[in-house]
Amino acid sequence: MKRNLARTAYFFLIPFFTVFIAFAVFPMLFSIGVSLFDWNGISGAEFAGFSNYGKLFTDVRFWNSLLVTLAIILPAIPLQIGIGLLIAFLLWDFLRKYTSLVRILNFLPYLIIPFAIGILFQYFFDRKIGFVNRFLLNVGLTDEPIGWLTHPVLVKLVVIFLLVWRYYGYMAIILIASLQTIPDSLSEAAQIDGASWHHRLFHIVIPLLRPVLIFLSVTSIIGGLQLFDEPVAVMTYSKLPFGGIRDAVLTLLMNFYSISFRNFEFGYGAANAVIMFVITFVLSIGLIRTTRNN
Amino acid sequence: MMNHNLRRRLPVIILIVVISLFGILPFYEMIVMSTHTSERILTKLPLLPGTHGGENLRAVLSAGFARYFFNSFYIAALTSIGGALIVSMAGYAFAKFMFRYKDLLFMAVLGSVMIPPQLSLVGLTIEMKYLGWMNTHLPLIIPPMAYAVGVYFVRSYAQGAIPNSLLESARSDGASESLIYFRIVLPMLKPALLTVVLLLYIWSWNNYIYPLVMVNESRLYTVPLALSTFGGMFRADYGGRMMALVVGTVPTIVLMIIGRKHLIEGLAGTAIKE
Repeated sequence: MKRNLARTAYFFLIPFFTVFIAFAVFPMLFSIGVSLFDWNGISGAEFAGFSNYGKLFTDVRFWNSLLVTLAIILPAIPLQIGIGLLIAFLLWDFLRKYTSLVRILNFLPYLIIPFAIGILFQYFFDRKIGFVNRFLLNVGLTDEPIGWLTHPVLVKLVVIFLLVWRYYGYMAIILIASLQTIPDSLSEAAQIDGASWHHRLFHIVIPLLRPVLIFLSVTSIIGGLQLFDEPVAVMTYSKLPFGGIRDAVLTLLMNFYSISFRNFEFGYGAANAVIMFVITFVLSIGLIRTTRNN
Repeated sequence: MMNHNLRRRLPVIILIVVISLFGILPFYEMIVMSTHTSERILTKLPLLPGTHGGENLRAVLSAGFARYFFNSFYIAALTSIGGALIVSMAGYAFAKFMFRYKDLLFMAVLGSVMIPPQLSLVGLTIEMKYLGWMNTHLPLIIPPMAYAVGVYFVRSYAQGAIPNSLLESARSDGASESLIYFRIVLPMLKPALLTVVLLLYIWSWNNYIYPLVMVNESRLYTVPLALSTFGGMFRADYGGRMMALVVGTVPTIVLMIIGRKHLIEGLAGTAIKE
């Protein structure tokens, strides 16, 4: 009796691919199609060719949101990975026994609802009632409360700080897990050689972690270009405009959301999403290429 | 010797303690503030728990938070369990069967990970309107089940954990393919399934933009969406607001700490293998 195993395989694939095609592939292609129309989702759609894309290239708000997103994630990502690497290295090199405890403590921020973190940080940095200002006033570092959330640079710093706080523990977890795959003999050999800690960090640990560091950088950039929940939450509770004063923290995704689901310009919103995808794709491929060549 | 060791380690210990405090402090303060009155929070940052927790909890529950909590819970539970089931079937098929277009299909699944979800969001919203799924929980439950990273993860796990000989001997004993899957494969995939369940659960619980776009009746709100509208409900009640954050986040965190082994394996596994 010979079974038709290929048929069995297709049978096992059907449930996943039904959902995948219906709710991931189809809506994606549909979005790309919609980007060629002017449509509010209710009345008739009008074919617009590439005019939505043309409009995008002169849309100051779009380019501003790209710059805002980069201004937030480009400092945040190296800091997240740097602090994560520092913790991972120190635990691995000096304090191996306490790894699991420290790991969990530092991992907590990653598990909290991002929107909730935004609310929490809004409270910390509020001009009038926030404890950061109250602390600075009490210590005498400033004479009047600082408008953390209204200043175009400071508000970005708040979001950067929030992102570093949220993700460094996640970075540490992944880096520790990959350090644990390094054979002990290698690190012991280095210790016996009398290699200093910075030698061990820069000449053993970082080269060994290279693929994981690249993976973390690329996924952080992909994720960072989708930054949304945290800045929205900070702004919601500060009662400031959606993207902050003069769009100071209006990220790419926030701009996309406000076009598509506040103004209901579905065609233009979809064009935004397509270009965001192209930017994401080019950046990640570029990053993978350059890190491979070196 | 001991002394020497300690002196070498002390700066490292201090550094790690400082970083860990940096990680925990905002979280700790959230919990502490949830047990104080607003007046107390607004006059001086409390450092120790107060006695107003019960009061704040009552305020949060009377604002209908139990319903939002239940909504989030059942949505995350259905998504993660349903997702783990279909993802495990696909992962198993990719790991243990030969069929036409296998590589092509797998590349399509893997490639979809690179695509930002907002690319499909406009299309998905219009699709949901046509299906009559707007203002229901279905768009929050069904689409996220197609968890591509999960397929990749289960496939790698199944390749190592399930010996071909076992499947062959079961087949020669005359076991049907569905019996093999449910009785042999599924139990052996349990650790990978738990990982997928946890990853999907936390994703679903934390997700904000899907419910924001798909749901606008307040009785259907999930926890993050409810938190986003609490500005109105708890305009001046900071204690209540913090308690809402605690109620919305702590139970999930406890769940994740219990399942941390599988969670960490999943997070690390997808990063290290490639």
